[in-house]
Amino acid sequence: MSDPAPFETFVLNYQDMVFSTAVRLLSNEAEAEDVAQEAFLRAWNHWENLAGSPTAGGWLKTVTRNLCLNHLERYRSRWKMFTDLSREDEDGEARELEFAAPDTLDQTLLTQDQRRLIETAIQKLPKDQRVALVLYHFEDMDYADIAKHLGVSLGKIKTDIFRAREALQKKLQPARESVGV
Amino acid sequence: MNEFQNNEERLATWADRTLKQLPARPAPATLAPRVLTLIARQAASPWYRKPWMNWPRHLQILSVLLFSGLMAAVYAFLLPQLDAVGPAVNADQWTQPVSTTFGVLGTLGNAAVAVLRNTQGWVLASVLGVIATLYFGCIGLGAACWRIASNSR
Repeated sequence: MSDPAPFETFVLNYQDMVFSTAVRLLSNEAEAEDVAQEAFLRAWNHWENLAGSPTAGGWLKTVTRNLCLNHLERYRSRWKMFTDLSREDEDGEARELEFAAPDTLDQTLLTQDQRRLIETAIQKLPKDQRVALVLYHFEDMDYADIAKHLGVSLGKIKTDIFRAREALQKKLQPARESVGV
Repeated sequence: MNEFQNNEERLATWADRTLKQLPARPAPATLAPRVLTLIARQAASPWYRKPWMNWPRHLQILSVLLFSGLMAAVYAFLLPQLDAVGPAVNADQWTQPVSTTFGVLGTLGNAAVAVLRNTQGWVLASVLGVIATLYFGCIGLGAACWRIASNSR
């Protein structure tokens, strides 16, 4: 097959992006790593077309997002009741999260603690709200696209995103004040 | 525009600005080695262990030709032999398992109706109560196992 050296560079360049997308959608690091691995294996199987392509990053992001949505659909829906119960139980726990160094000036507006607080708050949102919020704000999908992908009504998506923002706002009031809104 | 819409828009703007500031979460150090090891293993494995889509092109073509030949052989040699036995016998052979299954289901249904007709109402209610208790017991046990498994991760 192809030479693996450029692919290794590709993996190293995109691994943070792929893992971020997966962990924010799935809210589980082990599952996110599995999904990221699967996304890169698919990239390797299409490497002849992807090598040197300017759209390789977008392709990889779309594949990761779809793998996550399939994963959530396949493994979580039947356990919805139980996961929601356990999520409520975990509200008091604070998980240690790591962050890459900020690469733009804007990112210095949030401190390391605030970023950690926000990521933790996102992870603790109910699944429907979290997935809709991440797809809207991180994946830049519009309401209609999200509703189509998730197979739910437009109204539910708007409500979920609104509630997610409200929940974040309540949990992050100090961070919100410090970024000036 | 009313006040609610204004608040909603301000909230959306705040959320977008705040969330867009978040940097990427660094991937675990194990991710890249895991991917590269799997790819190396995949490359080292023989062609017949790979998915058909990843077989060498000439083997894909050969496999399609072989499979087509096999299907043609089945069509050419097996079907005439079945026809020679006779269509009525063939039909019986194919439908026998289905009719047996329906026969068994019919007998079980009749037995269930007979039991229901000859059983007191309170006995039936007790049996249904025990079944419901066991069923919800299983769900509760499953929920407990799931919660323990989730917490241990």
